[in-house]
Amino acid sequence: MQKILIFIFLFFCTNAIFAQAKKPTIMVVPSDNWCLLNGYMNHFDNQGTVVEVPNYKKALQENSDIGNVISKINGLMSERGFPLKNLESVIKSLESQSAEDNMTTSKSGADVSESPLDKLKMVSKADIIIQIGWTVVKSGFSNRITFNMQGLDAYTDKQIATAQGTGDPSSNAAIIILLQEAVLAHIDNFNASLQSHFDDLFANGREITIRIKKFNSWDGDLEKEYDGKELGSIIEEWLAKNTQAGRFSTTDATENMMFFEQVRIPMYNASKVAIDARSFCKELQKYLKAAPFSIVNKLTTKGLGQATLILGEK
Amino acid sequence: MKKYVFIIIFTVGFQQFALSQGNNPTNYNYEIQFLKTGLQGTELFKVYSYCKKEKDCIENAKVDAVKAILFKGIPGSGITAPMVNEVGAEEKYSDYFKEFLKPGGKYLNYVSISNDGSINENDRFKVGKQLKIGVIVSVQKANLRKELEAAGIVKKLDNGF
Repeated sequence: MQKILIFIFLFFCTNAIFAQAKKPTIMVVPSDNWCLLNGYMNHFDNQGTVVEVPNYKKALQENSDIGNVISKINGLMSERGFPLKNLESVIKSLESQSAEDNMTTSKSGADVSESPLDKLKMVSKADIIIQIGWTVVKSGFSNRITFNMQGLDAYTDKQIATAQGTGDPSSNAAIIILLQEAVLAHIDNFNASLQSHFDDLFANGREITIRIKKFNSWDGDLEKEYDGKELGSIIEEWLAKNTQAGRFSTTDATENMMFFEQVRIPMYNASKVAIDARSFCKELQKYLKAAPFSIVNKLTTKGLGQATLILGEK
Repeated sequence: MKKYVFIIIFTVGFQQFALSQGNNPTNYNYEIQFLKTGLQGTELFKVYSYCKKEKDCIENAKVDAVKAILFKGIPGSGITAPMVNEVGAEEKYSDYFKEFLKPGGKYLNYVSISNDGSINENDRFKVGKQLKIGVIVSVQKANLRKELEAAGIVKKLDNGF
């Protein structure tokens, strides 16, 4: 009897865990425009082209306003039951992780494996990025703040939430007070648009992007025919069958690569287990690996919403 | 005898109708203007309510401010979209809202009159046989949202995850 009760309890617990969809991570970062205006950009010479990349660490160390604004937003989002990743902590964690990896050796003297791709992926990231920026407009003795918050999906590059506006002029309030007022004034409208995005996810499926590529060592390509059908068309048919209501767009297609955008995948699979880009593409990986295709392939992913399948090798 | 019965029925019926208008979520006979974002989680509005007595106008202003936040949203404020954004929620949860918005109801925990209810002369109008009075009202929108989340009427941001 006791065993039956334990079994029933575990069954419901498992169902409760599976019923939760994979929660996106969100992080607040200063916008590129704000970093540029305030001198927090790194300049790189990339084969003759100057590339400017925001230096978040320098911005957080030297500008107290940005730290205060991020902290205020994080606090308000926690109150709404959605704690965010903290940019400063993520940067510190990445640095300490990298130092630990460098110092870790096995008893036989072996180092921790790290491919160039692993190194490239060691950057601060989240599924949804909230970019914030502001400008202080001076008019006589008064200051007013124009504030902008943008929620961006890290995989589809779509703006999924927004709130912006200009606050009332104030002659005696410090800039940080005006900034806090701006955050308070905009957070609910921002969250309302974020909620609409989440409602859309549950109604129409998670939106992801999928890239198909090939190693040049593979003798086949996406135009190779199986039973009179090109491999590219076979992949499109698989997507039409497995996506939510068959929704996806083929943005690019050549014999060497395909790029699918606006791919809507269900939040849960048939067994009610929450899925993301990785688990969805694992099924495609299995499909292509099996007969009659028998294509060995490698799957790499980025967060919940971006997957790349490279055909020909592991 | 029939005359008296008719008068009693009419009087009771009219009283019920008048009472129901105060907590009726779909009664939008008011005007509201955003003033300022106050301390954490509060917003200040000026509400113009219609009534026969000044005291009633002040009471109406409180419930009108809450109704505007719940069902309409207020342009220019921190809540431009209605807090209750489910289509048909007013009817679906009508029992809850009738109880919540009734005179002396729970909504009073989230709204208060600023300036001790003093009314500026420029905010006092006579419209036909009614008064139109503007008062400044402070609404604790963050706590109001938490109340509705706890009641299962408004979804939490992490709902489903």
